[in-house]
Amino acid sequence: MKNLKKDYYNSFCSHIYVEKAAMEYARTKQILSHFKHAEIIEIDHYKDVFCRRGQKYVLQHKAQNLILAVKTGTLIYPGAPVCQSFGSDHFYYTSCIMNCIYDCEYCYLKGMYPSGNLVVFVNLEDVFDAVKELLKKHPVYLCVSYDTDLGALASVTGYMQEWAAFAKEQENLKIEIRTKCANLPFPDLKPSPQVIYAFTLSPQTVIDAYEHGTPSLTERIACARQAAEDGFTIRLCFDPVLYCPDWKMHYESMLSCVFAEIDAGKLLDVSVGTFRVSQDYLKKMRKNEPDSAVVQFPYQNIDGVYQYPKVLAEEMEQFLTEQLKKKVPVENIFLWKEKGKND
Amino acid sequence: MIYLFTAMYSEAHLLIRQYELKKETDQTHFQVFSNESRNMRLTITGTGMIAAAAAVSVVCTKYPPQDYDFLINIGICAGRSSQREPFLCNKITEQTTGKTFYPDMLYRHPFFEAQIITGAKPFQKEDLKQSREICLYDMEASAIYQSGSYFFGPHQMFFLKLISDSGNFEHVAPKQIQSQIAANSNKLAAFLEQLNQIHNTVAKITAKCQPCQSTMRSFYVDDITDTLCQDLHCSNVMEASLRQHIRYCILSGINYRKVIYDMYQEKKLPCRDKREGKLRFEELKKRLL
Repeated sequence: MKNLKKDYYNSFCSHIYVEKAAMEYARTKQILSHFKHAEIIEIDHYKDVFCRRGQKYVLQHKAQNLILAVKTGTLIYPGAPVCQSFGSDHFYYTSCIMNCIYDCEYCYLKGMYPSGNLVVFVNLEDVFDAVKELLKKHPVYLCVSYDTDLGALASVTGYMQEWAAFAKEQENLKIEIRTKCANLPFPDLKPSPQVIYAFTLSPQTVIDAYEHGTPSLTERIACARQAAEDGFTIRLCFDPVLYCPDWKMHYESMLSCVFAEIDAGKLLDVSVGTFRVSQDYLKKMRKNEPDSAVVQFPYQNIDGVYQYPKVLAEEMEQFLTEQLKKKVPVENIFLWKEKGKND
Repeated sequence: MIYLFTAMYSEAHLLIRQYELKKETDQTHFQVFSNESRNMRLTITGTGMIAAAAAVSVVCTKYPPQDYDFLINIGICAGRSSQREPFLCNKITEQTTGKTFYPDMLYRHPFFEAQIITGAKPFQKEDLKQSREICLYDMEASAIYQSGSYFFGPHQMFFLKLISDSGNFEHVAPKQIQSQIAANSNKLAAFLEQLNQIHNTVAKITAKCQPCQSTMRSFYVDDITDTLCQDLHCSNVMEASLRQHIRYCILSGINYRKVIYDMYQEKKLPCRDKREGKLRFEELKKRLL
């Protein structure tokens, strides 16, 4: 499909599906105002569109459409074992947006969701209420940008700004906003220790090969540097670390670029994690992306999670950790380990 | 291949002439017309949901569609609008069940868009809702979508409808339908041409991939791995792992053939037995990555 003329495809969000229940939300109107020429289609439930049989996310990513919906049922989920808790006992995540405008070949969303379209849940207040309820029981560490990139959609949804403002007002709440975006609305935000902006960084070779549509490494570094200098709480995520021929050279060169620009003393912490994905997701990804090297790597299935062979994973983790130790205190380097295995 | 479905001959007449479709004489239940060189097969389903679903099912079972084929339902419908140009349907509602279906709207097109309601009997004037948005009414779309979805993805199905009446279908003459379709033939032809181009581009990419990628890949994978598997005394699990390694090496440009050749040169291959095979297999994997 790579050679199909771009002209054949509709533009981004040419069609917006709106749940009847979401129609009257002010947020719906605000989001729709960004897409004046879009065809608006009323739907009963987002799953009527999102969960259709036989969808091809590879194609849908070329003309991504938007679904606006109201989220019901569980709004906050316990953190998944494949995710890092950063030492927090009460680690949760929430999905106020499903799917991402970036097109990373290795992204687990491609195995998790049946569609490449975006779903934005417009009842953010309900999620805030659920967080408040949880906060009555214990402190909460909440990742709000796992199943999407909130930063990349900040100008359209304003969710990043709303989360930052909400978290600032809640005692015992710490949120992580993970992003590959390099154009975050920092002028609209105020620094807070409760809001962690986590930048995912990869060598430019990896970005070129697998992270389609994302900002370059230089742009991401510049954005993180500016944010750190402005006093925002910044985390750098070298996660997933991907194997490629000459990986040591690429990662070493990336780290020297990063620390030539960013003052390590201004970072909250860094995280390192080699690629891992659930077996069900990878099976689907391999079927849909037969020519993707990163997806077709001969991973090892360890208890239902596909990951690099142990020796290679350890070598990659150790290499990065050793490099990072030169700049960052060891207690600020977090390594992904499956719960109960390496504790 | 573009699979066209119309309910009546009068809806198909122009397309049959324009694309020089020839009647397939071996078809007895439905009238099927095709032209392989124009990449088209047209079926006249008859009116109503059951006839439409049956026709799609029969034709697509006999000629199974590929990933890059398209299904197009062209026909007339009822509607309150005076607009007589074709509409591309972005939402299909089945009146009897209330179920809704959404063809993907991935490709650019020159048409208006509207939603359509499919009913079991012809709509009368009083059935047509007075609404701000244009709503169309027909008797086949939802059935074609449901039947078609066994063979096509939502990105492969298109529903093009022309308003012929506002609930008084019995007064619509076949000649009127033919002339309405003829009046829009340029737009329809341009869209079909666009789909044909998409079809050809994707088919060409796939075909081009065959010798240099997919086929070669499977050739290498089959050829080399078959020998290797024998020489390594591979179990099924080892064989699957070996194939995955070689697949990855091809995609990443790793010279796996040299690695394998070197192991043969070093007399590490072929192996005497399963035990040695296991050891050499581990060594091979390490040397490949």
